Amino acid sequence: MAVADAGTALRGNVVSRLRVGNPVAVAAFAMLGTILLLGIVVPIVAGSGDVAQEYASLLPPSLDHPFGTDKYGRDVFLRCMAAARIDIALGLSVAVAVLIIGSVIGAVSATFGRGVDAVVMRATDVLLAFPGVVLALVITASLGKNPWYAAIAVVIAFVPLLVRLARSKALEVRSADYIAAARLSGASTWQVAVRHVLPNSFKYPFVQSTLVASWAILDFAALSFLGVGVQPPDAEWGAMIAEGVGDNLLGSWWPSFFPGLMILLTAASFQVIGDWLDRRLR
Amino acid sequence: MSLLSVRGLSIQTRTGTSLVRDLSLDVGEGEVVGIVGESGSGKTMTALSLLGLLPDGVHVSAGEAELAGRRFLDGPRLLARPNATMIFQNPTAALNPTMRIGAQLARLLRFLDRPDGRRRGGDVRDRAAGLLSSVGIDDPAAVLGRYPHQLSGGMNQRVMIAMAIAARPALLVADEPTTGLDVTVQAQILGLIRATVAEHGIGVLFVSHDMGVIAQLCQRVAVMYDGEVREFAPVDDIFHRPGDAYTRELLASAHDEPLADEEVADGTRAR
Amino acid sequence: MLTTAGKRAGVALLSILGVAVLTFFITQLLPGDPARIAAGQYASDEQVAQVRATYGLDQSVPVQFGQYVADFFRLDLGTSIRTGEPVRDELTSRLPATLELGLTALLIAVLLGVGLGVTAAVYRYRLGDRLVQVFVVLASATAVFWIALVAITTLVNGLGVFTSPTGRLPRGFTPPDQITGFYVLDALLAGDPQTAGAALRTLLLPALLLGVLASPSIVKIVRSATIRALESDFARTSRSFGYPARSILVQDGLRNSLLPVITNIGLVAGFVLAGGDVIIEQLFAWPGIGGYAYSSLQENDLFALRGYVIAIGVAYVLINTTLEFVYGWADPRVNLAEGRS
Ligand SMILES: Nc1ncnc2c1ncn2[C@@H]1O[C@H](COP(=O)(O)OP(=O)(O)OP(=O)(O)O)[C@@H](O)[C@H]1O
Ligand SMILES: [Mg+2]
Repeated sequence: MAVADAGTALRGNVVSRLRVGNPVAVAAFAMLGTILLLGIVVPIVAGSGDVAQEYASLLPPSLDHPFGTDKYGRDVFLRCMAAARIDIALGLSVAVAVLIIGSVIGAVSATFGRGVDAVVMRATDVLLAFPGVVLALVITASLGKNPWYAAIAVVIAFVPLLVRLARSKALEVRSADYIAAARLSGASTWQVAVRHVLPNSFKYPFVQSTLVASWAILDFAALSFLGVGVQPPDAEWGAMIAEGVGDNLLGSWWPSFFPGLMILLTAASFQVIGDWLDRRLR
Repeated sequence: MSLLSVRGLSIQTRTGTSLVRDLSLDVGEGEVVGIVGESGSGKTMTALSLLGLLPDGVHVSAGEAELAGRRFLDGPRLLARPNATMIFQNPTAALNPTMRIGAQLARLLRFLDRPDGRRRGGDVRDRAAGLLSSVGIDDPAAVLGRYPHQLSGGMNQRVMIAMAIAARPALLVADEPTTGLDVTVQAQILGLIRATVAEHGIGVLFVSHDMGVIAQLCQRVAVMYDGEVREFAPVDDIFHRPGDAYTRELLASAHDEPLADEEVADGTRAR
Repeated sequence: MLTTAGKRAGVALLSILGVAVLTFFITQLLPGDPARIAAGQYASDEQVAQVRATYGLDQSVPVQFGQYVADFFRLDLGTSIRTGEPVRDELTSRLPATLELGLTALLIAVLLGVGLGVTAAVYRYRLGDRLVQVFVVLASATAVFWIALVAITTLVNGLGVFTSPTGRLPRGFTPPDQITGFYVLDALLAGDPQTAGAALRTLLLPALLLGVLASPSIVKIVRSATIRALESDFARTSRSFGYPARSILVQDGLRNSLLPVITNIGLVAGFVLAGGDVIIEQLFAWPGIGGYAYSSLQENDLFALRGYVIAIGVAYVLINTTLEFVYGWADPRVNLAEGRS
């Protein structure tokens, strides 16, 4: 009973607060939506344009090629849009994976307490002893250079952060009345963890995961830039910038400029949405 | 002639919600005037407005106030800083957590020295210690070296009072200075305020929701309800001939607090 | 106090051990085959076997692990496949370059972060605050490798404001004799202001890039802590006495907002000494450990990379432990809590 009430109250709260508009947040959603839409539509319309080398190389931006062409004669705009699909999908899936894994481990750790909790905390301690990118870097380097491994590495790098957050929120929830009620009515510790503690402490990790999406895109692009993520000729923003380094130093700025701009716009949109959710849901 | 006189004070939020409406009261020299009222009735906002300390988003919308014949508040404008100081509920939070008591007193004393450029005799630390002894602190040297969190609430309130006196105000505004302190400490602090009034002849505006405390300390009382003064009268009238229905209600609920009425009868309040 | 110090040192030691163990597990036990990766994509089976034997990878895992831990305690980080040199020596000889860059960046990040954070707090919810928020979002969404390229194109090649990204000194200068290992300082100590100036101008751009991109988290933390302090009861007390705004900002605001900065420095250091540093050092031909990590990565030198990761992990643990001590020393409330326990 009490549990259901708390759940409904929370949901009502969240929905009513989300409705309030905020121009900056709306702009961020619009930006993200546009990039994603172009990322889906443009490659379909253009066929395999993103890897086709069909134009003169290093044409500066023009009406025909809004972002110019790269040294292999590929349209930078097409490649940026093909990459948008990958990068945004990556950001979102890493965020979701980190959110699920982190919240579950955090809730379980908080609910079981003692031994389980101690092990989880020491493990996150050690993982957090590495800057995220470095951890991801060595994981990817050890597994092999491959975008999937890079994605997994980014997930591993961010999970401890979410575990910590979810755990501390779960510890607050754990002592609430309705949890005690659930315990008294004979629920097992697992049931309490997954059915009660997890849903009710979900809010903060959820907000945080929006920021994780932003950071994940940056880190994943960094890994690709360093050559351990997406491999050429596949289009990915970080990998595109890496390919454009030489041209950039020789005066052709566009093959590396526009992918970075895409990263900036996308990551900034996620940041703004995260800040907005943070304010709304608090 | 009264020391402090407030006429038609109104306080609003930015969104237009009225917190205090058309409040008038006055405080004489050497007089303690109480403001009572339930939680949320606007006591704190009234007190803060007089020192220009209203929080962001809250402002004086109308009214005027004079202290010692000088107008300092005129509608939304604070014309000058009144010669008044304030002590607060939760004294530990009212002191800077990262500065030792000695440093906070020194900061105040140096600031007070500055306007006339004249150094009062003695070194700042000695004067700080002197101030602490004057509010009944036995071991000033030790207290000077402490941080607020290392002291009790009562001790911190003494420090606050010492600072408030050091500024030589004409008016002391006290916002529930004893709420949250235990009974013996509360009595000591009230005694200290009484002694301060006697010694310096200053006026005190004393905010409380505790009828017992008001009865012990005040000569006149303003009863507030929902942002308005319902009744402003001498304390005996308030307790024995309440003129307002809400005052009677307040007294009835205060009867549960044992000391209130007896003390009035005993005449233990300050005069 | 002593027991807490001991406890913290113990935790730090455990974390360092954890770092070593975790690095071993990642590099040796994940499904990837380090010997094959090290030998390269096109190596024959014999060549792979050769690498495997040379680096003891043909031994059983427990034996490898024992050897690894023993080496670790002898501060032996193994041998680089790429250069054949001991990884530890290569890292230590490159460390001063990274420290000079990283510490300068850290300084910039802290100054910028505190300055902008306080500005935002003073102008809270108004235009100044909004502008700072825009900076925060943009800086935390900017890829360091991209902005470095943009800066090189515009500021170095275009406007010529900064010197070319050719390491720690422009061409034609000789490094000063090593005293601190920091070129700017060493040149000054050697009485050679010209070299010091050149070194500083070379250092400035990469340090600025790292510092600016690392600053948002400090801005955020300083802003909220300063707002909290300025709206606190004790700031109200100060206002009740009529203290000047400046005194309230410094003594009540800043003083109380610098504490959380200390805890945040660990994170920022992670970026300026490792995450962003790898990329910046590579792009600016900066001869530090980040550039070393980059080269090792390109050449699949897993053992050199492993050494780098251990070094960073250990440095990170040491930094955070030091910061805990500093925090305990800087915040009287923490001190007291420990005095009691
Ligand atoms: N910062 C603020 N902004 C807007 N409204 C406020 C603010 N602070 C308080 N209020 C409102 O002003 C009204 C009066 O509050 P005030 O603090 O003066 O009451 P009070 O009589 O001192 O109560 P208490 O006995 O609880 O201290 C309350 O309804 C409160 O909700
Ligand atoms: Mg109040």
